Amino acid sequence: MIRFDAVARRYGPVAAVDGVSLDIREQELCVLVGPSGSGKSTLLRMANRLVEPTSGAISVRGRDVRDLRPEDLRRGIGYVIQSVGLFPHLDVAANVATVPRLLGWDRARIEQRTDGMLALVGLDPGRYRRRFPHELSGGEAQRVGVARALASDPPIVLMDEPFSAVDPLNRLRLQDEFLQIQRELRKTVLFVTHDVDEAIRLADRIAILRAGRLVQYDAPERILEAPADPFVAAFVGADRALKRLSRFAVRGHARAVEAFRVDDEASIREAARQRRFLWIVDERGVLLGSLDTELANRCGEIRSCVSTENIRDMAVTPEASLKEALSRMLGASARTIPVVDSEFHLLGELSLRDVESVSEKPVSAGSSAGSSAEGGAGGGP
Amino acid sequence: MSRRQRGSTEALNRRPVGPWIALGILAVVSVLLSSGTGIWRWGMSLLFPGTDTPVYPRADPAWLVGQHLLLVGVSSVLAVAVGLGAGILVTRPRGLSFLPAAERLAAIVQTFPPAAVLALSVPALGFGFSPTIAALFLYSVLPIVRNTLEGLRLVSADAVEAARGMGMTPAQVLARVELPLAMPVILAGIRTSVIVNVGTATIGATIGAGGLGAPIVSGLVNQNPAFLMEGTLIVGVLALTIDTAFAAAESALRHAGPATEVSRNG
Repeated sequence: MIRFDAVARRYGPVAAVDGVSLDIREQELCVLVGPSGSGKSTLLRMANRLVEPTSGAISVRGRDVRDLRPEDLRRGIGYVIQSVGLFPHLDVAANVATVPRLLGWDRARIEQRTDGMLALVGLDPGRYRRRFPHELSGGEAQRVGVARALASDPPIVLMDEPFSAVDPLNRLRLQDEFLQIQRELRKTVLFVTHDVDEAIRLADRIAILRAGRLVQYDAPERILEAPADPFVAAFVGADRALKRLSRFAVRGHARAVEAFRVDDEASIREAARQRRFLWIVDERGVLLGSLDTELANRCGEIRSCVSTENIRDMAVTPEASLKEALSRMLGASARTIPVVDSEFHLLGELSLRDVESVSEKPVSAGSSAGSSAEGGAGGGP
Repeated sequence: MSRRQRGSTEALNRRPVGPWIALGILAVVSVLLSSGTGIWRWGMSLLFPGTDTPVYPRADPAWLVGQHLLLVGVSSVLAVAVGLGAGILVTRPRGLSFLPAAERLAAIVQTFPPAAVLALSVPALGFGFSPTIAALFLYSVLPIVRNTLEGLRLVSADAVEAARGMGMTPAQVLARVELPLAMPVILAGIRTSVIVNVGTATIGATIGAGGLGAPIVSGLVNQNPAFLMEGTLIVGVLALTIDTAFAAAESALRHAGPATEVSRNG
């Protein structure tokens, strides 16, 4: 979809980009990451001819970018920059409508599209349409920036550190929302950041640049598992095993487990002969806590022996990452934690062994293939 | 947020006052002028009982205002056209090499007193209307160039980058992003230059260009305070009126969109 072929850009004797070949597949989110001065922004800006290469060739959708008028090329590529660059004299709707207007869409279509885009990025069109950029928070402005870039439905989007100027909490939210949008729209995205964690969270593939050269280009899991050289290893950090866990969801690694209703004493006594610990739910299937069956033998009423302490801190949702799951295990000093849905119904359990097994398994492309975290909900017989 | 709120309440408190005062004075003066010169003559002879000619006899006040407005109008339109054009040209990629020269020239010419420019243009253009226009033009083109340069310089580089990145042609970037954002600063330059022009144009009378300078010069020569009063009062009201019109235009611009100063942070 976007192809860089031995591309170089020199400023006098300095090579900002030095012979980079990179192929971004259709519908792929490729993150360019590297320290400042590594040439990642220059590389990105060559894709829409804001910077012209000194040598090498770039093609977008199979066509050499030099065959197109720069304006026509750019109108077909969404563009988001770090400082957002909203037009301060135009309201939100007019900002979002920029490219559709340049393309000469009719009024009704533009209005419909603008409202749709605002809704997509989580801004109520009725409330935000007529606001001016200086009336928006940083996060809202960045959302408008994303809506503006997607307004004409371009197949390709370039994003140059779009979330860097936002505070960390909002950045996480914007990243999550953007991932949601990307899952829905499946654009080909070239995304620049200096933040390794952001790259790991978002990327299908990461291209690591150093001093204008491409050092490694691979799936995040693989880069974390096998850094190409000491630079990459240092750049992704000594905690790369943990970071790698953040790429895997609990769903796909959890195992189904039987839930026991707190008033079903017969089943609990029966199960206690085989298992040391049981998950106990209430009449509606809501997780109450764990039961140490050795204690249960000695106590009269089951309910009073169920350990409910920490249970809210231990439980994870299927969408959570294995990194979060591991953190919860450590926090609760538990080797096995429950997996619950948003209503706290028990879905399954995840053990330390399940987390460890991720490091041993060969990496598959998707991080959450298969599903074993279902069943068990609704309680035992 | 609070800045905007404060700004808009200030504007609300301030807005009605200026225009109403100016309109009031304008109304009074136009009544005085339009009722022949009767009331005016009566008022002036009351104020200056020593003079036997209380009204400038060689031209009707309305005629003088017309002449004056012509001087100011022609020179200002020329100055806006040339000043804005030059300011835009030297900030385009092709004209960028002239930018330092333009800035320096603007600074130098501004230091010439208008009387000197007038004196210098007489040998070249003779007496009368044209040398006055030339002098006024030269003197007022520079604030416009300077403010155009400053206004364009202050336009958020990010907005321009985004505009280019989204596929606007250079002309579209200029017309849709740069000029609208620079407009408050440019308009301030035009306002200053026109207001200064209204006053400076009186000097034209010394080389026979007419206008409201005529009664002033005549009053000075003949030691007639009534003539002086006639010229200066009307010039003052004229300047005030035009200034009010500009203020209204600027405020309309601010209400159509936020001012550059505030929005650059956003």
